[in-house]
Amino acid sequence: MSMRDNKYLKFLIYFISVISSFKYSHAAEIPSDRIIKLDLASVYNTFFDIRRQLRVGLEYQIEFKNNLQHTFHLDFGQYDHYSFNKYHDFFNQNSGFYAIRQDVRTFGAHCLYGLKYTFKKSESRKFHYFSCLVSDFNFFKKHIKTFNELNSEKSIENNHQFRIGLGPEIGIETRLYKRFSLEIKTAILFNLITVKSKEDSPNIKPYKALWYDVQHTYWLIPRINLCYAL
Amino acid sequence: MHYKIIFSILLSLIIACKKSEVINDDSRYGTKIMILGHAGMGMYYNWPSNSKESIEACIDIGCDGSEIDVQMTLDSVLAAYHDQDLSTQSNCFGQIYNHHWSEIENCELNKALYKGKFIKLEALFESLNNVQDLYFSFDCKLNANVSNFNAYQLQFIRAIKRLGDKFNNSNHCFIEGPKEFLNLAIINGLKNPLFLISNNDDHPSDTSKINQFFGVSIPDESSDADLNYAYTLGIRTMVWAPLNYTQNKDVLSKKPDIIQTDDPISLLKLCNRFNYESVRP
Repeated sequence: MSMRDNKYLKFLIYFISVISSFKYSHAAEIPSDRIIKLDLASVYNTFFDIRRQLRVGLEYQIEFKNNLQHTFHLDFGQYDHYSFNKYHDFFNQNSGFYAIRQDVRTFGAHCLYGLKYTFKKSESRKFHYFSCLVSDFNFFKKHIKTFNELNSEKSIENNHQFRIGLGPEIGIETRLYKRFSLEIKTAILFNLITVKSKEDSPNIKPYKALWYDVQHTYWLIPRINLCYAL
Repeated sequence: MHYKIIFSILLSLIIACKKSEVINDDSRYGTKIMILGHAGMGMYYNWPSNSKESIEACIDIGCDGSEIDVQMTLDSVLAAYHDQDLSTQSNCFGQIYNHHWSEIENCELNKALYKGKFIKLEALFESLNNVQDLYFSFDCKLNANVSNFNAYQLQFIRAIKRLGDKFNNSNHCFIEGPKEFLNLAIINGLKNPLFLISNNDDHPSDTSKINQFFGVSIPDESSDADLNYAYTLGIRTMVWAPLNYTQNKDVLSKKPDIIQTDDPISLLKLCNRFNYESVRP
């Protein structure tokens, strides 16, 4: 199992501890059956990682029966942009010093649909706990530009990948202020199907995931949603 | 009230955070600084130093190669191991030179989370796809307790020569050792670039220049002036072993020719040379 960035985990723990420290005098009930949410976890790497990202994660939730809701989450944008330089013949012993430079960009989207059940929703409780069955439809396009200084050769490679995952999710939500609330949840998704544009190309990881195994057969998606009740 | 606190915290986090930086990794010779792992991924990795797993991992993530601590068995097999005594980092006992390879090949390196096997350099090179593209620095751990030290050194040099001839990569395998050993290597026709190993307290650049060695292998505390002096003499500098991001950054600023690092991940990221496609179990 790989851990992408332990700073991410620290951020999550820090956030949970801050939220847990609040004492509420008002009811925790969220005053609407339709909620829009902004995923704060999605913007984390935009600020903290050397790999340039530009992403947004938005969610819409609607209650269709008491304690049961549909959730639709869309996370999209540029997931990755980095340069990779590999140098050769450092001491000019053969063909002379040269570099092979790569510019790698990955664009894509995670579309998550969830069927959510909230346990014992009551006004007296500080937190609501919920579980969810989530499906993740993710699509990525990886664009690799390579330049070889030795022969001035340029090449461009595009790889596409579509993947579907399904799994359970658990989380907690709490009301912050008036129509604002906060939701923290984690889903574990198991791969059902992967389709790639080139069979021999390496798997593109599920970028929204915090953890994933080497083969990408399962992955863990945490979300910290700032919610607004419509 | 609460939402104001939350937003203040978020805002302060965003303002406080800073994108990682990319640092100039030019060498004094107008090329780039070579990045080698220190016995693989360094001392903090899950696999033991000098294990196959650790050396392969550092190459996988983008290192130009690896430093390897090299010792020789009684039957002239070059094995990767650091200490004089087998018991300090493995479940075996005695000194490597007192054993045949068959006696130690199943010993377990046990100073890390996972246990690794001893690896002989020949097997390591065979397992690597692009061995002629990679660089290695052999830190030759000579055993001074042998009865005939001169014959032992010659045996060691012959073993290195055979390895270089087999894989045709002598010019990519640096030899780190004391002056006497390197001089013996020159006399016996070793083509590998030779680096005088030193704590930088005995004017190693001058000694290297006089003895026509390729470079010096010195600690990372060596000053910018020392490295510049070596450059003026035409002597290459190999520096060991920064342990973390701060020390890596500090060493980069001194512009050595080669860095052996215990934290290759942060160094490669600093130089835009980290292979993000690498997937390690």
